[in-house]
Amino acid sequence: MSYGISLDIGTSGTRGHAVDLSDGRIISTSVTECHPLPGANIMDHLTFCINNGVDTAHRILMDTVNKLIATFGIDLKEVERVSICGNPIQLSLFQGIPVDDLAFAGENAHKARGIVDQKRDAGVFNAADVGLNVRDNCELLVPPAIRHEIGADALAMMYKSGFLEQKENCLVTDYGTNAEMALKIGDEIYTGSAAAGPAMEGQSIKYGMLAGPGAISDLEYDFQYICKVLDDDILPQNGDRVDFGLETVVPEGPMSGKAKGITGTGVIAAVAAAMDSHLWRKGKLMTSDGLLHLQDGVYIDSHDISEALKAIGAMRAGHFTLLEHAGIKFDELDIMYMAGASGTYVDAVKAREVGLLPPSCSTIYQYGNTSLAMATDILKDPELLDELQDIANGIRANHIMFAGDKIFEQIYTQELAVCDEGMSMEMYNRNNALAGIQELPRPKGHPTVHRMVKRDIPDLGEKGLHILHDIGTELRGYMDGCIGCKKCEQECPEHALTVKDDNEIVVKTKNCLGTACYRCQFSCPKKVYKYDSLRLA
Amino acid sequence: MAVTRYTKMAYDSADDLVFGYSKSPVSYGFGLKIGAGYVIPEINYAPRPGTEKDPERLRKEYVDYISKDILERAITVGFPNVQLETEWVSQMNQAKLSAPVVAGQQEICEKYHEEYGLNCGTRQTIPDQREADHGLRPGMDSAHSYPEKLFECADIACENGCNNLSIESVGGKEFADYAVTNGDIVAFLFGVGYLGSIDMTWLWEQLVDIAKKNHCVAGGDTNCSGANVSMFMAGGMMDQDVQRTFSAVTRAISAARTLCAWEAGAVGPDKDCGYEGPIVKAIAGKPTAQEGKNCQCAHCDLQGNLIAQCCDLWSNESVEYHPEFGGTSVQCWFGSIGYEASLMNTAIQLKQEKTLRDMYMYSDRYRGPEAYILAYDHAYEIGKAIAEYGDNLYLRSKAAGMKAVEILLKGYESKELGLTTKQLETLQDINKKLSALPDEEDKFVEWAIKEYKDTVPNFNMKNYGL
Repeated sequence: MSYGISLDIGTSGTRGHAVDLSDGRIISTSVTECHPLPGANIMDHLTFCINNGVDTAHRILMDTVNKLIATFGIDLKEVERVSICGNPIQLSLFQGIPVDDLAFAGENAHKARGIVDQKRDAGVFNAADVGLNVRDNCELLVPPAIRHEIGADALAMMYKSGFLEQKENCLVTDYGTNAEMALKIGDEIYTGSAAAGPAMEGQSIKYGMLAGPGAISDLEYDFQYICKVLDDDILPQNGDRVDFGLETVVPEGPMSGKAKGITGTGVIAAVAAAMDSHLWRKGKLMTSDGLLHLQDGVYIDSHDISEALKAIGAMRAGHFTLLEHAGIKFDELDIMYMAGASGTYVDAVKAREVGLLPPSCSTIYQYGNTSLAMATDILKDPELLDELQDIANGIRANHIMFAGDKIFEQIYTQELAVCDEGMSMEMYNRNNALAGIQELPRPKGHPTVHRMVKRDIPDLGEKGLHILHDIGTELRGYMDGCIGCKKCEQECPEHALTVKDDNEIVVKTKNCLGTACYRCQFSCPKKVYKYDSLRLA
Repeated sequence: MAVTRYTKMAYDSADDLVFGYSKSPVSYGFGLKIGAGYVIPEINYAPRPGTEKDPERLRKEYVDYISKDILERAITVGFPNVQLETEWVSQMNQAKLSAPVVAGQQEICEKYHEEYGLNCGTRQTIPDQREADHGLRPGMDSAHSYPEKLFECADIACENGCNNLSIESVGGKEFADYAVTNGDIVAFLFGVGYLGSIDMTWLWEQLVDIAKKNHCVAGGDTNCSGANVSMFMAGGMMDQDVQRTFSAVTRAISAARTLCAWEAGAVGPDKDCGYEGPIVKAIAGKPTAQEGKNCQCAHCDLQGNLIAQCCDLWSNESVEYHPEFGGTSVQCWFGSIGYEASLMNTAIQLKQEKTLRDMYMYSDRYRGPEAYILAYDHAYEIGKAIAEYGDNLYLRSKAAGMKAVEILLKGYESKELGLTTKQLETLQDINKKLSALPDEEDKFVEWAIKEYKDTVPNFNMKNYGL
């Protein structure tokens, strides 16, 4: 028996297929619940690398990937080749190559630090060399980046969605924690990636959860809203009927009493409902208790909405920035391709309503996980790597580094003011107009939505899906001068940190918010706690 | 949308019917909650003649003058809730005229909600210009395409931000006109109670879909084109052209028709001019808009107080925009309905709502047969008669008419209700005619087609898909 493994290394987790190479059949699918590195976005991961070294980050990631591939239910000694796809940072972490050329933007920053750009062309390597628990000489197939900042995942979403063949102006986005996006105007392609954070995937939301039984995945408008709750077959069924204006929740369907949490798509639906019901005012939910009650005690609060709006705002600002750089107006952009799990499952009309895609788009294509799909294509046909390298070389790409872009800064500042301060969209447009930026129109009419796949990973294989919940990676260390007061443990908002009896600090990386938080360090009364001194256990 | 006929009453007793509360409240717009424990004023208006000739002038009239005046007055006086109702002038069947008005009203409502916390929203009542002689269904009216335009109007309203989609549909009007002018209650029963119900069900199944697709609430309908024609032709104490006992029975029959919008999925509130509101609210428990003493700007009726008894929205019917001593006409009449709603809401807060309801009701209960059958206890009885035969459009309309006759005769015999000789004779004639009708729908329809095909102008069964 000869097996292959295809992997999508994402910012919020890794997904993979085990494939029978004799006939290309998918045998099984496994996904991790989240990324093992501390933090919830690409900036956290980069910061961790800078502070702790790429080697540490690489070992943490490989530890998780090895746990994941062990769940495929195949003999790993029989694995002949492995293919991967993902953004440049995740692929670099996987391969263990430096990321400082990605962490610091601009030539001057590179020169000042003596940073050398890494080559990220297509290539075939030894999988065992990067630490995968497979036999020696098992091939590792790595797809090309388009340019050093525009990764293989961006190529995947362009290649697999039909974006590259489209003659009209069009936009494609891989809706993930790090949202890759590309705008095509004639032969010119403008790319960027927005660190949207994990709200789109239900993370950082109080009742957020991955798609599974009991997850509220959508809200259907029926003059009130009917909660759609995933059943044991992960199919949405009616739950309770809720009226956010009247603040009533009434049992309606078979999933009443069975909700446990809410998925990212459910969060988008809740945001759309809050907007639609005009209950989001001046940065707060205007219900009597400030909560949007769904069912079975699951609710969305103002903080959740704000988190979701920040993710949406990052993507909207990204789209907006690409349009401004390309010099086109919203009404010149009609076609949208949505990729990634969230891009597949989210109700595209609601997504357009809340700002996840430009309001002018009236033709929308929803694709699945293009990254895993392309990795699987490569696995089945390794010669595709050459073809992809040719495509990558032929793309006239203009990459816009949002981090240092004035237009993005202007627009994203407005987005933050909208979601945190409750600034009106009228003011949003007025402020942008002062900076010479076009007005953001309101969505109108009914877009035509083409759902190209039924699920983000269309084929799970005969052995089905396995979700790896327990990544189990820990950072540990002793702090000189620690008095064992456990103030750091009490301060940790995610309950990721434990102080052992001998004052050893133990941090579960998957729960830790990383550099976005550092509350443990700031709370230390003796000022001896140094987060960066913790080491992989 | 599946049609679900009402076969039982939402309310357990007539005494539970009271203004401001409905069994199934509805929320929409910018913080509006209808039937949720208080009454909301609904202000309706008409633009000055001539403004409809230019899209920008019409938008300005509706948005910058009428809507702004009303919203400003709400803030000035301190009314916390207001619903704007725009009954489209016929020219608004063109998107260039209507779309900017609907969108503009939505924008200005949002502004006042954001700035002042005013709960507000719009009901857009689209025009039903269909004509029986040209055809009521799409594809039939080659002269005007009015059926197609009706649905286009619904799309325009909903896509541009309407909060409550409503209509005054005209199905059965050719029969209502004939029935009222000829004093033929059976023609009214067949045309309004049966054919009109078929039309309204067909129409609202589609309107509900359009509304839902656009996240707009599907409000409701009225038999303005039938029972109101009958009521206004019957007129007041001095008029004799149409007997008010006849008008009262047409009102009861019309309730069986107005119910169809809700049975097709609309959620209310229905239209203010549907005086059959107390009956349909008793059956369905959905909120109702009513008009009476504070709609004298539009017309006079004989139940101005009584009809407020169980309203959820209180309306002025309509007023042309013009200056008055106290402000513009919309501000003055908004003040009038606003203070009345405030009185009702104060009664609710002081737990005196049933006392005030009964004061309203008794004030007009004996003023005439129309008011008598609409008094909430009688409205409830008529509702029960409709619900008992709820699955059959013919039988329930007949039951409504028969129950109204029974109530009126009983009122007359007990000397509660005074009737003129002519009114009594008309009532007895109606009783005779309705009693003689068969119990089988097929037999009735077969007979009615033969009876009316050569007498009712523009009668065409194809208008009703039959």
